[in-house]
Amino acid sequence: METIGFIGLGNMGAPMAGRLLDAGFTLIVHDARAAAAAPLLARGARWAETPAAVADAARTIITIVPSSREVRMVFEGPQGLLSALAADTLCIEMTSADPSATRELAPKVEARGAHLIDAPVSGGVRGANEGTLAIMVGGPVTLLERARPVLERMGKNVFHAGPVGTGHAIKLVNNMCSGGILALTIEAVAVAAKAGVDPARAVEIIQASSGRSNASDYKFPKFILNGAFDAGFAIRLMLKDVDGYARLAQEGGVPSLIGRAATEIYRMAVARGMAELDHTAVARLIEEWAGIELRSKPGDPA
Amino acid sequence: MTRIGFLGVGTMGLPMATNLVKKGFTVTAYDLNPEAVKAAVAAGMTGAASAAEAVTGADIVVTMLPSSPHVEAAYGGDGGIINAARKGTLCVDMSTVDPAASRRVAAAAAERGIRFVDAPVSGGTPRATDGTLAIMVGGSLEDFQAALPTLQAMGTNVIHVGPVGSGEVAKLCNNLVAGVVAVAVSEAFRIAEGFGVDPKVVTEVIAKSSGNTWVMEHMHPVPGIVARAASTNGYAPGFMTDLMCKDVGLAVDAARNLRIPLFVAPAAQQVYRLASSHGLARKDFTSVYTFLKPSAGTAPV
Repeated sequence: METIGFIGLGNMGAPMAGRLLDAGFTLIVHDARAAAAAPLLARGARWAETPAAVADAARTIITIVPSSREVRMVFEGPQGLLSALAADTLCIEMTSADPSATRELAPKVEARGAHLIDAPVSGGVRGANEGTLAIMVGGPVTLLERARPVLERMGKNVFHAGPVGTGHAIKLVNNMCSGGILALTIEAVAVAAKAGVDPARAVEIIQASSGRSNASDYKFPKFILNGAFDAGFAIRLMLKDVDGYARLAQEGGVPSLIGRAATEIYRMAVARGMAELDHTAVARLIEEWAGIELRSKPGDPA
Repeated sequence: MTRIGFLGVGTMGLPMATNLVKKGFTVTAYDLNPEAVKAAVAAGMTGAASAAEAVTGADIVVTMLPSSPHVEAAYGGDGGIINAARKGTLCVDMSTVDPAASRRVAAAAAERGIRFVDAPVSGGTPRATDGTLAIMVGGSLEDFQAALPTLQAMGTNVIHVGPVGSGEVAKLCNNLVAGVVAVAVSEAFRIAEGFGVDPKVVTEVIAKSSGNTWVMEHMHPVPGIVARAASTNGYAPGFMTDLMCKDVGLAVDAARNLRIPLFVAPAAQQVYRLASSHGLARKDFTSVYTFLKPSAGTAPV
């Protein structure tokens, strides 16, 4: 079966790569932290010392790293992919990256006779483990169809968003919806609690009403009401994405009052030393402002 | 000499009423807080046991209260000023309140033949003590002129703005600008510092450029630039964050009732609310600058 190169074995990359191994693909993997590869190597993946070594061995290469900065390192740094890409190699860039950086990278890949599509994902660590990610693809449809057998091992819903960069654009847009609605819902539940509604009861009522969202249905019960704060996506990453959205809004000339407010809440969380905490822990900041805790009590609705 | 009934002798009211005493007015003071009445007596006023007692026999009633509900409660009801005052008494409300509340109180007062002007002040405790407040008056010209000697004992710039409520309108417009500007100046100086540029020099530049503003010149949020600014004195008020939050809120509420869309003032209002949640409620409002701390240099951008 085809050899896939896989660069970036973090919270998301590791389980996604694991699903490709499960499906029988041969994997050659790389990460800036070699230790991150150990569990996959134990299951038969091969290690590559550099991105260039991945490019030597694979004609389909997936990258999923923290941000555009790391994407640039992987492609254009020393021993980067661009130094070694073989003709007709398909690069599937799955990072939540900056669309304009992706549009600048694509011609450099084309100049080597290779191809780049952007294919960021949504669905979190759970979606990565279960292979139920949403995948949003920017690039020519022919390349999407070439990538589809690989992508469908990792995600259930593979969408064509438009030309190169649009996958990354819609990913930023989705994350603003996710982060903005989360911040709003936390604020709203704090207001409900101050108005005398038990937080767990407030979430239960919102779940059954017109205010429902992923925040009320999933993040509140799984990560906030129980104080777990372990959805697997750090506040600094949310800030990166909502900042990326703000740039997109500015490029597009779209006023962004609500987006801006949400962005500054995540920025303030980082300013308060919360960068590495899970993004659902932004609740702690809003709770501090409101002077109330939004935890379940014994006997609350599940 | 003119007999004054003075209701509300707190942080602002006490130094204002004290100036009336110094200028020879006979002042009877009342406050919901008995300690405040004791302080007024110590400053040479007669203490009263109720609002009604303070206004009985007064030629002019002055009120200096925290909010619209306080003012409406003080004037209305059986024991209220409107019931207790003699017909023809001139009431001067110097509180910062919703202009619509001033107009409601004025209408209720007029029904009983009581005269009413709104006369909110600007300048904070230092200028209340010095007797140099700015006072903006809403009411008929005749009532304004009747109130003028009393007001001139407390302030230097006494301006007749227009009919009843107009003083409050001018006040809330001023505080909207000052409140928004203090946030903007704080943000600008955080940026200047972020680039390592000397805030003293940036102050000089702005002072000679299109961004110049009273708040920067007199109430600079960055400590050590303006000697008399609250920032240079540990952000001791001055004018407290919570009060600025309330005043910007009055403007925001007024705009809603006037069907005017507003963006910057509500944002500033929330910034003051946040600063208040972070322990700055009773500091000077320019302490909002301390709240806009950047992330540590090691935090990701």
